[in-house]
Amino acid sequence: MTFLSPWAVWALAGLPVVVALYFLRLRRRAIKVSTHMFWQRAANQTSRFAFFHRLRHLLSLLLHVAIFLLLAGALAKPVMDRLIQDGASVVIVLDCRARMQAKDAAGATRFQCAVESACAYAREAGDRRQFAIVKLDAAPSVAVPFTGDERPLLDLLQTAQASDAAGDMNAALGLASTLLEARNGERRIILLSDRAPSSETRFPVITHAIPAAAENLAITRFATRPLPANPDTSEVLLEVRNFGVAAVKTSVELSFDGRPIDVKNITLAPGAKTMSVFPALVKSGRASRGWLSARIEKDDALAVDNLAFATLPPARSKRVLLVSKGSFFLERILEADASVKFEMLTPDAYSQELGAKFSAVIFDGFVPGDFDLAKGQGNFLFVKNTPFQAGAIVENPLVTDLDSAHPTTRNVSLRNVTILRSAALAVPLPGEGWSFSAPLRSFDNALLVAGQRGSQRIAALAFDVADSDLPLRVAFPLLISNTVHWLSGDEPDAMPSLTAGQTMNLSPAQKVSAEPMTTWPRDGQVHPANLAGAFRPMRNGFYHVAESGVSRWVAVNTFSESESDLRSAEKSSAATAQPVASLTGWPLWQWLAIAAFALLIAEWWAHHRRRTE
Amino acid sequence: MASSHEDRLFDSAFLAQLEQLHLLARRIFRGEQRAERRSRQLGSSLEFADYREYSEGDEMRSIDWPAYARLERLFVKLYEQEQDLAVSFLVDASASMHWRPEGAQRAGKFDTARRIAAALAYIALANLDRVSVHFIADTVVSELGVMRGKSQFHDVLDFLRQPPASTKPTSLIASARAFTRRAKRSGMVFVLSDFFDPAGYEDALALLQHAQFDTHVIQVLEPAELSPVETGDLRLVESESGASLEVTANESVLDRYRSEIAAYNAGLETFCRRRGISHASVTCDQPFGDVVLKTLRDGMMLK
Repeated sequence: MTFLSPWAVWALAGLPVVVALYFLRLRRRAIKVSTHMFWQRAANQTSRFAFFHRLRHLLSLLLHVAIFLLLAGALAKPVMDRLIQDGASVVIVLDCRARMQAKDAAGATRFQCAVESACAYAREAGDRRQFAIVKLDAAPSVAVPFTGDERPLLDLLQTAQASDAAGDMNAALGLASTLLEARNGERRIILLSDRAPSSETRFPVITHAIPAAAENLAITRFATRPLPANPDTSEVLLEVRNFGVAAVKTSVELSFDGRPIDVKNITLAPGAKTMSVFPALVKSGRASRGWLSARIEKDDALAVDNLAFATLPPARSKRVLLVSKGSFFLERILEADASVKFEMLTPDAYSQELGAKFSAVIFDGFVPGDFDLAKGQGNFLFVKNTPFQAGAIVENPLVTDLDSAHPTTRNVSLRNVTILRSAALAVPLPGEGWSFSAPLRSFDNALLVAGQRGSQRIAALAFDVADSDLPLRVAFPLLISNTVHWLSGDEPDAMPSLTAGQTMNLSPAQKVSAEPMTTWPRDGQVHPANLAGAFRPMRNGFYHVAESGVSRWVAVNTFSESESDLRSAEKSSAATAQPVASLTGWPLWQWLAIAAFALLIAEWWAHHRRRTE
Repeated sequence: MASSHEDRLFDSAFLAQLEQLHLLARRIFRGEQRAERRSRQLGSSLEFADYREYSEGDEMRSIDWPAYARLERLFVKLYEQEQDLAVSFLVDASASMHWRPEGAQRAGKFDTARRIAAALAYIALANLDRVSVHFIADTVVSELGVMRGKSQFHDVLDFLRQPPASTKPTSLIASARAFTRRAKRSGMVFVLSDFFDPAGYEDALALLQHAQFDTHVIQVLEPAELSPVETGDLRLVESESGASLEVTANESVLDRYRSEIAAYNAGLETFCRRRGISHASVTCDQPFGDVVLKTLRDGMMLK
């Protein structure tokens, strides 16, 4: 037998009250009479039945106590476990997705309601009714394996929190089904979510839907990118969408390192979205963290999507050395780039020690005689003459492959560029820490080779810019600028903004903090970066990434329309959790309540017939 | 009987009806003054009583001259003397007589007894009888001396309106002893009481009879006493002693109670009938006119 409401045991504390009330009821009503003469005689005859009279008192008390015990028993909701001879296995799928943080009018979140219901289920755990908990978030996982002990279940539920990530409900239900497949007896899945499953499952699913408010305004995109014309400035893209049923007029505040820098008023019809661009934000300086955040000034159902984070890469001083006998186009390009300090030397004035002092060195038609790829220090761009030349000159090469994902060729379009001739470059095999790629190719010939060893980088352009019409194209300054900034250490895509729950594979040199930061502490102490390997942030904010002593920040956001759209919340069919035992067992409380009611009728009848007192 | 409500009972029409009534004495008593009631004393009324031989000093006009003509002896005609009658009212003023059911608005037992006493006193006064009124409880607690003539009816009413302040338990025998000791003449005595005396009523009534009083019993009861309806767990507080009695009253107990009080009242009636005592039982809910004009006449107290 299982008691679904064991707290009702406390009702037994009221038993003395029942007894006290009974004796209080025995306090006789005082009535004034003219004489006792006849009452005494009548009562004397009654006293012959004193034994039965006392018995009636006892019977009355016993009836009251029995009624009370039956009611207390009914409150405890006992269930006969006759239907679960083989045991029951139940998997609680606890929705921990970001949308579960939505609050209702009373201020309680959907997740709190779900946990409360889950606790009610967990208290039913026993040897013959085992529970497991599967958390539904970005990566569904078994939080508690099957157990008949309610303690680990309740411990998990008391510490569980809704994440800021989206998740796949079907994956979680699939995991729950996999868990149940190995079990015998009654098998069920209890889904505690604000949404019903979208697909059939192999086992019965009890959906305990959690209702909540539907009004929500969300930031669905927030990103920065350097301006191609000036990599030291970035533009900010902000997209806000109204998932509510009423038009919204509010404002969005943009902050940089915690200081408001812009406010934009927005008005959104139901279901509409607006996209804003904040142009020409200067990169953060050395003392800056580069934290950029956007906040919707509206208190709606889901707060997690009202705040978004992004980072601006810190500005670095870049000194570029052009070693050339004279190159009109390269000189003009480098002079025009305000983000670099350009210097020029003739090849005979160059020395290896000098090259290490610059962020990047461009060798125009010149390879130093003492250049050694294995020992070389510095970042180099070779133009026309390169260390990777492998064969004869290629006449009129066509650009056939362009890796737009590579930092050097990002946003570069070389379609219909005419190249008079180029060298045949061989992409070196990886070795001595170097790795190479060819982001620009002409069939099998590499036109651009890029290599990296740690923070050291090298690039080789197979043709003289003067032997092509490239300088006349928009792609030329982009190509040179991308390459120079890449050589200088800029990695615009190295630390992209992540969505919560997205896995980021860290390099061996990288470590990341476990917890995000959203506000800068007064003491300046940041969370230590001590996690290595794969990293899956589940909270929005700025994560501290450390690599070779250099700190950077990666922003994490929810950015999920499925999480922000609360309008599809299911209507709950039950305000409280439907006990599993009531599904798998035989509830007794109704019969106890009926028995109590029958006894109450009997007591009432007996009392009015003076069978009891 | 202090309210004007009671005074209205004695309106002129009712008093006129009362004047037509006479207290019915079962015996003939000797009076002190001439009145409208026959007595054994010979006097000067028109009612012939007897003859006796003339003796010196008799009035000449009382000689029966026709008898002298036939018998040649002087006889004097004797006439009955119409004398007054001592009529006493013993009104029970004990605590039990002051009891009335909770919430009852009408007159209680004591009020009813006082009204009856007032009505009978008026009849007696109208017949030039000598009236005395006594409040009794554990003894005679207060009394009104002899009144005579209708003009003193208001004195009777005033006395009845001012009962003794303290209510004591009933002792009929003690009250009867006190009354008989004080009474100078025998006569009619009306005992108005509920007769709820744990010591019994028999000795008291026997004592009054032994003292040559023509005794009339008027038992005044509350209907709620005859047939109580209260049920449940009761603590009955006796009005006279203040003692409590815990009773669980149900229908069977109430039936036994009704049987007991009915037997008690029947015993009183039987006792009175055997002893030649007039008996009438009155309940407070009876119309007062019916009580005086019907119940008491049926009880052979009035004619």
